[in-house]
Amino acid sequence: MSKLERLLKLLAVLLDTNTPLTADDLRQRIGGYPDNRASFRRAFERDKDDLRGMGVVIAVERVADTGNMDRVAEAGAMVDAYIVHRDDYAGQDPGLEPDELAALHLAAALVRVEQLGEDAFWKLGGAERAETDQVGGSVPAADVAGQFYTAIIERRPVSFTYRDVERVLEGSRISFVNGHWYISGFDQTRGATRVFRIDRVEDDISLGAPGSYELQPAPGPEIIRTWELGDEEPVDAVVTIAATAALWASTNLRDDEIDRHPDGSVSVRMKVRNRQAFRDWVLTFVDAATIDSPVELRSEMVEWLDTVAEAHA
Amino acid sequence: MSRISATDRMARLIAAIPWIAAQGGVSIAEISERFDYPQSVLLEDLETVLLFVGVPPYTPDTLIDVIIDDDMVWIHYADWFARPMRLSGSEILSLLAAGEAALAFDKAEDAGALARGLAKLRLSTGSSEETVDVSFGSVATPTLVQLREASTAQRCVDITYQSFSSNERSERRIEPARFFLESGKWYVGAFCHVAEAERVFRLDRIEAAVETDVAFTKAMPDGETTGTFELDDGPEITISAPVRFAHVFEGVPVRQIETVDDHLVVTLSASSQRWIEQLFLRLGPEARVLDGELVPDIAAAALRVRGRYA
Repeated sequence: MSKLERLLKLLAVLLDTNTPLTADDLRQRIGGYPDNRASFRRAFERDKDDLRGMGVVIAVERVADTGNMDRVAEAGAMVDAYIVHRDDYAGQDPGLEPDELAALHLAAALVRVEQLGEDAFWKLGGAERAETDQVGGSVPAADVAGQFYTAIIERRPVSFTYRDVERVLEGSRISFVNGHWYISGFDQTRGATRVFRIDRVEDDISLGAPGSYELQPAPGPEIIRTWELGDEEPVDAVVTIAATAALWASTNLRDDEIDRHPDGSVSVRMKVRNRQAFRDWVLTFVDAATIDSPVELRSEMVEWLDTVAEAHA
Repeated sequence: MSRISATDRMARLIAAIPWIAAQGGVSIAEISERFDYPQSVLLEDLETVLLFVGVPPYTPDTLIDVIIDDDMVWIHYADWFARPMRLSGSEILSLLAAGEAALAFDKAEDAGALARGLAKLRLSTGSSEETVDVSFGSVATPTLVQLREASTAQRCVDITYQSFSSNERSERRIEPARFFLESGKWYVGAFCHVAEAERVFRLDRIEAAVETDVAFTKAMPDGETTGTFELDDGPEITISAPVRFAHVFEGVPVRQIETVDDHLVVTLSASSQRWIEQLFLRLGPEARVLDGELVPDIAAAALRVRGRYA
């Protein structure tokens, strides 16, 4: 039996069954596996890995070992049993019309997303070749972001490490801003809403139990404001920016945070939770921006500038 | 594609089966095209593999029914594979990102099908705009539309541009040729009459654009537009800075960046004195100029900014 036939039968049987099946059950039902027990185990493990690699979710349960034709089970022994739940396997069909699918396919050719393969389109019914030469550019891979996304959809808290701190997050929103993926939600460890840049999440993330929380609307980082990405005690700051740089400054702020002056300059109100990022932002304007308040942030800026001046004197 | 692995064929088959079953008869050629499945391999897999797939006791009523007549295929009784596999989280995000980016770009045209497709995708996967928010910079759509129209009509555009050097505004006549997305921002590659060369402009830094009736003077060469940014007007400078300041160089078109121990060594184009000044003010006391003709007076810049706090 070819590997392809064996894999298809394995998947069909796992989808067809109403109760989880042990390796022995599967070997018997599918046939085509090696007779030697050790070779069978290796081939079976590889097949499971292959199915999982394709994205098939194989659920595992512990059941009583009932042995098989040539093996008597020990009393009370337990073994793994497998099943593919149909709702885990298949999603809801979005019901795309041919022109809608073609438009999505063209969009993916226009804007390449790293690691987005044709197989996503096969799952949507396959699409005709799309070619375009007018634009290029790409969006970074959404692999880890995809895990956070699944966590949100299934309401599973996510544990991960960020800036050396362990976090448990009730995710509520995935954002793609300025070329990076972000996750925002309620940080259980801090007892407050937080935003994290996903490519800075340090190690493997792990997902908790499904349905563990209610989705709370998170403050949407329509614009990611680096000075808000931190755990410091929030400080309200006002920065005045000269007319020449006013447009550029405003792109990072909402209208209700900007006071416009008759000479074209603007004063912006910022809630600072990350002082280093705040300083960094203000300095991009060189002498076209000044911190008006609070005194504390003004003195920190002066101190920083003195250190820089001294180091380069 | 001479040989494709069993798992690659399987991925195609379990996607193609529900589609074929739903269509009624489909030609081999069409399946091959839609699922990137070489015709000979497809035919072989249908005839010698799929016919034997089913569940015990593998009697005709528990096997998939495949009928091949001439170059047409029908599939019945593939209940286990009646629906295609669920899209993964990363596939959904990637599709939404690509779609939203293209939508921002294509608003001028009939983007109805794309918008409808995205809405259906969001609905079927439970991803509302509150849970998945994909945005591509604050590009003023009218500017984008104007530039695209001018590009198609081959007419020069006069733009007011807020340069990378933070707060220098310049007026330029450009010939917009190519549009691309980089780090979540839209850019246009154009022949610039001021620089008399090809330059790249970030769309959200274009303050105003006025189409002229002057025809293009240059034909832009075909191919990918690369990082010939408007910033690239100046001489080169090489900087060393602690690794923890890597974020300062994000979104900046650098020519070369490498890590040496706990320092970054970055080579970029010093488009203006002011641009270099802001980099050094942000990089702090440990940053150094390693090489470059235009060595900025950083101490003076720091004291100048400090003067505002006197």
